[in-house]
Amino acid sequence: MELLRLKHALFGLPPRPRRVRARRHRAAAALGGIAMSALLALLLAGTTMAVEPSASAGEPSPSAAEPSPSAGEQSASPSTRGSPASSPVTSPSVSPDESGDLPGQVLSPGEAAPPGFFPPAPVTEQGRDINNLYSIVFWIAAAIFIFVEALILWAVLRYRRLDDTLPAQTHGNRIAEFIWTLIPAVIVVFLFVASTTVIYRVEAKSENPDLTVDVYGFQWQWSFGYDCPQEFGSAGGFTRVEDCGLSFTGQGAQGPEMVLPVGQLVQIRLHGSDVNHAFYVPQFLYKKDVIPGQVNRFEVRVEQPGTYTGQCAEFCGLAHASMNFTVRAVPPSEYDAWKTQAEQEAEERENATPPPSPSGDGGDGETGATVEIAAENASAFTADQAEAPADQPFSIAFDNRDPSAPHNVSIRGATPEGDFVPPIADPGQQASYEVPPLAAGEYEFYCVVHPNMQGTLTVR
Amino acid sequence: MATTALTPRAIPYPRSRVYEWLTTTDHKKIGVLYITSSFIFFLLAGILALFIRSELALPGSQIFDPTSGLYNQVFTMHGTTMIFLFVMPMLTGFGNYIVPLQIGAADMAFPRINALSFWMIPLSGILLFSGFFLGGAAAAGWTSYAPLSAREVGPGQDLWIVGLILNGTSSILGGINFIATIFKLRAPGMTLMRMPLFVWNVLVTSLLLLFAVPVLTSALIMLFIDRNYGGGFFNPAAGGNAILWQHVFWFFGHPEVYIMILPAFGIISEVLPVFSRKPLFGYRAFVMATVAIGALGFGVWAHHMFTTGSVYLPFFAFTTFLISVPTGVKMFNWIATMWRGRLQFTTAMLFAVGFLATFLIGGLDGAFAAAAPVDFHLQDTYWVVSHLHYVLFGGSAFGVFAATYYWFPKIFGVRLDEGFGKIHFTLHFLGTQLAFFPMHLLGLDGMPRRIQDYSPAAGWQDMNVLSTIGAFMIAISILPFLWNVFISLRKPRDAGDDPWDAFTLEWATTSPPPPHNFDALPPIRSERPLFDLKYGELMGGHAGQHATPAEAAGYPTEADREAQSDPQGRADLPTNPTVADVEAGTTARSEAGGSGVIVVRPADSEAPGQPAAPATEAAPETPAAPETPATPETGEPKLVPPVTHAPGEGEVTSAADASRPSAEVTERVRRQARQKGTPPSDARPEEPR
Repeated sequence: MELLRLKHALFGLPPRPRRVRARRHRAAAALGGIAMSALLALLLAGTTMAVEPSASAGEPSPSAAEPSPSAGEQSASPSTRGSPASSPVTSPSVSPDESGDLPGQVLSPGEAAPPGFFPPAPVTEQGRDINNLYSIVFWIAAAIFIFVEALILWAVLRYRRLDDTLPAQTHGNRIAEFIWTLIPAVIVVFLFVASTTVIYRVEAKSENPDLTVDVYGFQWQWSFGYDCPQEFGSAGGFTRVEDCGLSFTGQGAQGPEMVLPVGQLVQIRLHGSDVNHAFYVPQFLYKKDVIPGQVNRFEVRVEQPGTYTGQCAEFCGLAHASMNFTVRAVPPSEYDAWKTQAEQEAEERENATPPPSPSGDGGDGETGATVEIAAENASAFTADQAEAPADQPFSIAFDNRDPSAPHNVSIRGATPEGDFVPPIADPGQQASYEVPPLAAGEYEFYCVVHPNMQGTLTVR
Repeated sequence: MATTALTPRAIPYPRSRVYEWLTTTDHKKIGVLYITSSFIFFLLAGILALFIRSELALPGSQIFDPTSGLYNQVFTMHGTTMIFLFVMPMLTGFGNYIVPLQIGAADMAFPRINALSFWMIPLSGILLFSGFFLGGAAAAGWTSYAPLSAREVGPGQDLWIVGLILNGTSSILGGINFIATIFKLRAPGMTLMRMPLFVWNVLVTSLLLLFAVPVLTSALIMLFIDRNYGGGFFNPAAGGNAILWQHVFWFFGHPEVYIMILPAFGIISEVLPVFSRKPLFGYRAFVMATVAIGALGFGVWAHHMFTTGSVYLPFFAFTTFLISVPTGVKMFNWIATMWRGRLQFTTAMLFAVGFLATFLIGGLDGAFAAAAPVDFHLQDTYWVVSHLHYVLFGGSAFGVFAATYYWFPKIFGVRLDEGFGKIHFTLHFLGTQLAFFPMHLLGLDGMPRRIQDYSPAAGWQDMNVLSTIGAFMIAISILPFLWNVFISLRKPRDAGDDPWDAFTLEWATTSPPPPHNFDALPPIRSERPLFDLKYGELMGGHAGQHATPAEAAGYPTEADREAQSDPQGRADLPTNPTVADVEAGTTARSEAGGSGVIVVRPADSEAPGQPAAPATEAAPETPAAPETPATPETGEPKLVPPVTHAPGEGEVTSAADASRPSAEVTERVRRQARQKGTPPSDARPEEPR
């Protein structure tokens, strides 16, 4: 309609006289119309659904309230679509200050929000920037969507064939085409400027963050390290997260927990050694890839205390779906208390002698024809050494104590065909594997699910 | 017209039909082979998709054993098959069938290479799928990111590499063939700016293939070396770079997106004007937008890598935003094409309009992904799955079905049933929205892609159930389509040459076309030669009444383009390379095409006095009728029967088969041809640009 009016305005055409509608109704036109109205209704319903909860919360949420003026301008007239460039550019820079005083977000963090047209409520300073940008893009896109779908719908209903006369053979119109090249170009430049400002804010790196946490992602688990050596910042410096002052390796599907102090600038360094992973916390509205051979880093300032689930987002193989972790944001005082306690516990663990000694497993192999091997998590077997008698069949008693991941004990080069690969033991399962006689020597055993779980089987 | 030239081949060499199809070099048969094999792979990959959706409908593992890794194989093969064995060869198939017809050629430039390109496709498909029976198919995703793909054990990944190298070789050969065909075999008068938009899109697609696929091949070879010969291209521990794969892959992968969508754009640009009864709005803008998309497509690859931390974000954000401008121009021009038309909602048109409505969402999604910080949240979630399906399923697949309904009567001589077609469209359209829209919301809520399972506490179940229902709706929608094809092929082939009253050259010949494609070609003076032929005098006679705003305002483009406003076709003569011949009343003959089509235009002033044209071997039985003068009052173009060589078949067939059902137009064309006789054919025009 706007287009029509625009053309009338531009070319001084008289409005098209209304045609006498033929009663003959084209079922097809109606069908197309219904289908597209359904689509429009779906979007409109979804939009209101998504907007309402935030609006009804009473508190003016910066994310939902701020972009609506721009949306109002968007739908007003297509010819002014370039103009909101001024208002939203300034608003993201304003809103962080406002909500610094009003940290109350609409959704209580940690509670799973139902999927809607907007991302989960952001809980970090950086996430809020991203959320604002998302809202700008969303409202512009929604306005264009409704405008263009309405044009299509109108064309479908209004111009369906009612007679067989040839319509005017319009080959084009330079002015109209120029306009609808220029307007998208202006919108695009505006969006580019808006995103670039957010890029620089979100990707900023400070020299002295309040806290640095090192993350090590591997198939299919995470390790978090606090107080890690400074050389972990360079790609070659990283060895093991165990070298850090305090470290946690995740066990089971819930993965490890990262505790962060609220309000402090935290730099997170990402290390990998096997394949690509991605550190993704939906409520941060942020993810960064974990890439072997390079250290990726990003910074967050968590503003909302709470527990947030995170997950590997870059497909990394078999157990990709269960590569989870959590982030718990607590007030700084609570964080300090937690850290002191965790350090104490770690110290106690180190002092206490580990009850299942690795030599004990191997010892069983000597006495009889049974080798005991166990796994507790996906990073390694409980012991990386085992012994077995040579030239006679023996059995492996495998105890998969891992609550989440399946494991087994495979022996490289143990059969003429290649590896000895027995069935996989499900989480919590115990299995007994009958191994054919092996010649004396050293063999590598590994978990077929986790190639990173390896050990040496000495056959003598 | 039986001809003496036919005599030596009067007795057909007895060959079985199977042998005929296996050894054919006819672009039309190869096109049908492409389309059929692609459709089979579409069904296979669709079944894989149903398995994926069934698994994801509920939390927990219902179908696939999580320890087997079968789920990963299934989604990898779903993506790979849909892209490399369905969309690409399907569009190549339509290009194969339609492009030579639309430019008035008798075959592709290299018919044997054409056959070779096709036969590599099923072979690569067999290699890819054989992984399932040889210990597990590839399981690293269709993007096969290294180092994961370098570390995956088993033959599946190697078969995947070899299969794709083969597939890519086929694409490269096909691209070269299309480029040669389009540049060298156009009929006289078919300048570049008169080519149908579908041909333009296939041309740009072929160029993209030529530049992009070798890059993929290099990546695949590096990966193969890493996997089998101890290479370290992608292994940081050995001095390689884990990011390298993504750069090389996406340098191919993003142009690949345009390789898959541009031919669909072309199809929509053919279907919309015909069923709107109007020319394409802004032909030049379409051409420029197509070329711009192709060129910009090479500068945006790293927007797939925003979260890797190793690309310069603002540059790739900018180029990605920029590419939405030409796409937007296309969208508005399509709508303007429908504007004030007489829209006839055949199933083909419904799919074309459905394409506009659906692709719009996929296109707007691009703005979200281009805003790098927003992409930090969306990358690798189901939002991306939704986006790519809106573009590839809502875009390319809708285009494929529009093309199927539109060109089916040309290919098989019978229309598909409209009733079943509309059932198909309705289910297909609603199923598409239902299957893919909820994925947006899931991704926004943080559901990663390529996961077999999700926590019941995540709140993702409802949307996943909806999505699964939508996927099954799409699957069900294929059933009426298959039934439709089945019953239609059993009907009498009575569609006629031009059932849609269409504009472009493929409708100027019989349905299905003879092996040599054309007996005669109408003069080509615009991008709608057949429209000019049918309505030229009408439009010329009523030009005043139908003046467009631009005409009223006196814009020169209109005058240039409106061949019908000048019955003698003089308006665009300056751009016609054969102008001298036409002015002199002599003939123009296309050598390059090998189709030997001869087009004569009467010189307007002295038409009645044109010298008689000696008959050539093409039309010996033509009554040596005194050359009837052209009828300057109507300005009807005169046509002569051509020398009808079909290079691919090496056969010479009769120029016109009177027993064949033919539309009025073709009949008229032939009548005029017989009256006119055949002129001397020595004059050789310059190659049309």
